[in-house]
Amino acid sequence: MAGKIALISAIAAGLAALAIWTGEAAILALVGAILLLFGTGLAMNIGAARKIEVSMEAAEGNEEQDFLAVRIRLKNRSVFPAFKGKARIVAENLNFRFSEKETLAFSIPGKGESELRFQIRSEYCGKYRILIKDVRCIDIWGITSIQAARDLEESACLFPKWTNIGSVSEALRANYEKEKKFAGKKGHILSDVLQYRGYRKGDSLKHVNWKLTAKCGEWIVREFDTPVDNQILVIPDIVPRDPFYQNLAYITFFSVCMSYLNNNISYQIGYAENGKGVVTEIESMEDLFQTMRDILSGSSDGTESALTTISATENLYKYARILYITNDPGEENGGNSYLLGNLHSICVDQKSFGAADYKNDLKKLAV
Amino acid sequence: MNAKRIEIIKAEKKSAKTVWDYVLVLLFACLFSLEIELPAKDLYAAGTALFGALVVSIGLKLISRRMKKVWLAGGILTAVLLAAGGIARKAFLNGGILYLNKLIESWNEKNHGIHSFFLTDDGNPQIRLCLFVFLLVSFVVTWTVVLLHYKRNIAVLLLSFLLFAYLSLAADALPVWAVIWMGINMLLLSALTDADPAAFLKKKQQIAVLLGGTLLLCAAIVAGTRLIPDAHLTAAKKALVRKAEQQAYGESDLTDGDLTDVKDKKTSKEPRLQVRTENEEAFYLRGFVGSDYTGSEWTELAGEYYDGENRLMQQWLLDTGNSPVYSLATPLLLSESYDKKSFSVESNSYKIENDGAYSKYLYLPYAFGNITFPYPDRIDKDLNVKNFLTDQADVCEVSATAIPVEEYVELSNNGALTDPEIFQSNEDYFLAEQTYRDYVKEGYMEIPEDVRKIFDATFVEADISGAMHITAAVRQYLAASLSYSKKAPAPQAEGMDFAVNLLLKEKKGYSVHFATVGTLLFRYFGIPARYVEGYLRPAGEENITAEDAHAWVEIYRYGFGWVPIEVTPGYYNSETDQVTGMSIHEVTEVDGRQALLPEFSGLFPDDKSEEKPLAPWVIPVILFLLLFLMAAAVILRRKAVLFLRNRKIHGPDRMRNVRNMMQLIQKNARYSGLRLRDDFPLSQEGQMDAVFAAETESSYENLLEHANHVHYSAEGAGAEDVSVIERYLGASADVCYRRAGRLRRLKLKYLNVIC
Repeated sequence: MAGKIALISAIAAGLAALAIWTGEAAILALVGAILLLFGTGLAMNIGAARKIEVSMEAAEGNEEQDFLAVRIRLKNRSVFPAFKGKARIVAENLNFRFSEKETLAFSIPGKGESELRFQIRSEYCGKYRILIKDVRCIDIWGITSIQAARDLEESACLFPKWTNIGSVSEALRANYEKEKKFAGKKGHILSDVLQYRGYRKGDSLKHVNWKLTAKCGEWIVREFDTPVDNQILVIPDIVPRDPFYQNLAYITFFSVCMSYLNNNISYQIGYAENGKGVVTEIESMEDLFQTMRDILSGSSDGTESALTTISATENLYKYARILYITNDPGEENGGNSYLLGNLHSICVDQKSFGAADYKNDLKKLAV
Repeated sequence: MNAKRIEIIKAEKKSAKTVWDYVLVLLFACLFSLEIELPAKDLYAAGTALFGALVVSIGLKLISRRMKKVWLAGGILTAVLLAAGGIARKAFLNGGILYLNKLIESWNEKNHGIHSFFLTDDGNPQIRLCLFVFLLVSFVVTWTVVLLHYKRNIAVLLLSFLLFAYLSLAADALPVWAVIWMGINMLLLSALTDADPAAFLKKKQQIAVLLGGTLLLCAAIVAGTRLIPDAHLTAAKKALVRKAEQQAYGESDLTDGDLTDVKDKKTSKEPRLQVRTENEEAFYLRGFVGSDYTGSEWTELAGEYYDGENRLMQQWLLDTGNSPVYSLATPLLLSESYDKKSFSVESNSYKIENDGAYSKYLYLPYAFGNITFPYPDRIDKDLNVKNFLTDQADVCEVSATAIPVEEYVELSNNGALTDPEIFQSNEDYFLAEQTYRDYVKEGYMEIPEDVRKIFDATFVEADISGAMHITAAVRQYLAASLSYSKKAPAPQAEGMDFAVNLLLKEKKGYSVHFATVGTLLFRYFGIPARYVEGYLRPAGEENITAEDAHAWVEIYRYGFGWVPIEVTPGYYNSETDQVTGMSIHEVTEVDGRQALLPEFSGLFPDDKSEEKPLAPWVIPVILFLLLFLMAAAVILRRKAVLFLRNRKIHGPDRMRNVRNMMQLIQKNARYSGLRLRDDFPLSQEGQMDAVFAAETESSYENLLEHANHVHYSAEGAGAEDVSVIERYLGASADVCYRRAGRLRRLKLKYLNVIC
């Protein structure tokens, strides 16, 4: 801008000097005309730039919309039109620390409004911060630019692009039936022993471990990982690692959740927030989006397993199934804190999951 | 992994261009044509104003579309810009051209080269060349800026200034081509004000536009300049220069050489010059000098300068401290025996102040002997003195010996010049004078044939010799042929000679008319002569007014110099001028074309051969034809696009047909402002399950349904698929068409050829 102004000034000064040298009033008039033209443009630009109000809205995605729709409203309260303007925006993914810059052009009539719309699309889900670095008005000649607004911020979440794995309810029910049948035959409900404890009134004699009873001198019974009810708990434990697999973990988690929701299977999501375990009942799409929002907004440093954190406050035995989804190979088994019979743990990396047939793996995981 | 992890996709800019933009632009072009065609001064300002209006159309469009309340603000802005535009235009007309001319002239003087590169008869080829180069440069520069950098506001600015300059230089010379050129620029400008070219032109197309436009322009200009007659160009340039000079120097009291429409003699007492001198006698103050007579004007001498090897006389005068301006009476100083006292010659000082006179010239008295001439660098071609544009020399002081008007002729006939002693003792001078004499003989003896015929018929057996006798004969003839009238006679018809009209038809006039015919008559009798305009200072007067403006004749006396001769009756003592033995055949009245003397009847242009001025309906018809051509071009284009499109979607390769159709469907969807999903299978051949998003109209849902049911196979699309896609294409065009507004439909149909 300074260069352009200097150029115009130099031309005007040169012409003025020529006018003085030659004594030709007409050239002076030409100088006047040039200055008048530029002066008018500049004055109008200042007038417009000082009275421009900027606001921003960002619409998050939903089950159909896989992008963020951002709308910047520019209201010009001055009578002078903003002939041309530029808005510099930055979109930053807070989860993955990617950012992208863009400049948008606009023009606003005097006492009028204008709207800038754009979409933020990415393969990477996460919480996005949209920052309008500055809004500048440029005069009609394209020479000077005046700042009208700066540093406006808005946040919105871009949800993972989920994969539809179709109907899972039938398969899930079949699995239950199979397990019940097995339990009926063997007298066990499920195969794995959760723990051993002292005999309490009402315990079945079938569960007494006679060998231990003999050793210990008191009645010891086996406690099996019997599900109290049919609830499912999905625990995402996604830590900042390789962005691709981190993103894949989000996608996996979200796809499973979406497929349960679409098949009307009630479930809960457990996650760690500020070092405390939180378990949320998911009954509708809104619940899921809200929970996803919280998960994306929270941060995990990966020092402690989410499973560990949740187990501190939550009785995990009552769930028929616990899906533990992580992208950290070290945490594949819930940090080895528990070995639950109902735990289905999966680590999303190229070795163990999704390498060959992602959709099939996903379906297996869900059922 | 994607190179770009986040994509920011801007909403598609909808082009706001409508058919009305083009209509508006065409209207502007029409108005411009009026501005160029009509010569009235004020229309230039009006045209500039209109042009300015277009330049700010960006602003106006923004203002007027939505905010009716601020039209006033828009109006004020427009007025300011228009005024600025008008001033700029006028400024260029006033200052730019003349300054350029001055630069060129000074270059010519230094280099003794071509005179007046732009603005003379000889300069026509240069005018064309300059015009051509100018237009070419402006076109290329502007479009380079626009297309390659998309900085349209700067481009508009640049364009407007180039057009201002162009208008000043060329519009007056090339009306028709100027209109066409203007039209092209207006169209481009309109395109610029609405959308970036990037939005509707691809890179290759931009380059094609640039190259193609440049070539077309070159062709148009070359063709145009070949078609325009030289006379038209010359006349237009002269009119332009005259207009510019008028603005720069003020208005001349007489003609400044232009005899096409001589005004009545001024009788007002408006101040012109202030002369302070002890000389109480009446004397001439010489301004304009006309050397060449073209039949409608007096111009400076064509041909070469009195320069180079011929410079001897001028050099001698300068070296000996004499005025190089008049080369007058120098020999008198050489002659010891010359009786100066008998001619009441005294050395006086003169201080002449310009107080409202036409400031193109310095007004100086005839003088001789040790003249203090302060402006040797202002000696124009053949020793004339011009006051150039930028030199505001309002006061001119000379110290010299001037002679009373009536004594000049007598002086020039003084026998002292024949004294052999003078020749012997001043050989250098006479050698130098000899070269100048040859130059004068060559340059100041031309008479048009028509005028010579009249003189031949008049002076049938005249045998007149000697300057005194010839002067008397000229005076006698003029007094007999023309009557003195301060009211100017009717101007001559186009193509007719000024003198012929005067002598055969009008037979009246004032000093301009007498001096013109007188000059030609002196030449007829073999004395080199030229036409002079200036002021005649009445005896004892200090203030010279408009009514003192006067024209007279200068004749060249060999060995002596240029001598002013008075030929207007009433300004000289007629009693002493009777020439005995001279027979003058009176040329009797010739009324219009019924000449009593048959040999002169041919001098009047025949009615039938007269060039008729352009009829008033011609321009509207041309514009109408242009409109018609544009409409035809639009229709033809539509047909061509449809033909190409059909060829694209009905080719032998079904797969390609389908792909092309899908591209068209996508284009239709974009035009109708529909949002498309990313995975719309533009290039994928495997499936077409992607559909338009977020469309609620049921008909459109059906389209999507269709799209979903089309399957491709690896072998290629089946005939059924093609027909479904085709139906889908038609339906998408329908939707696109239905969703558009009335104007947009027109545009879609004729400019984008949607269906």
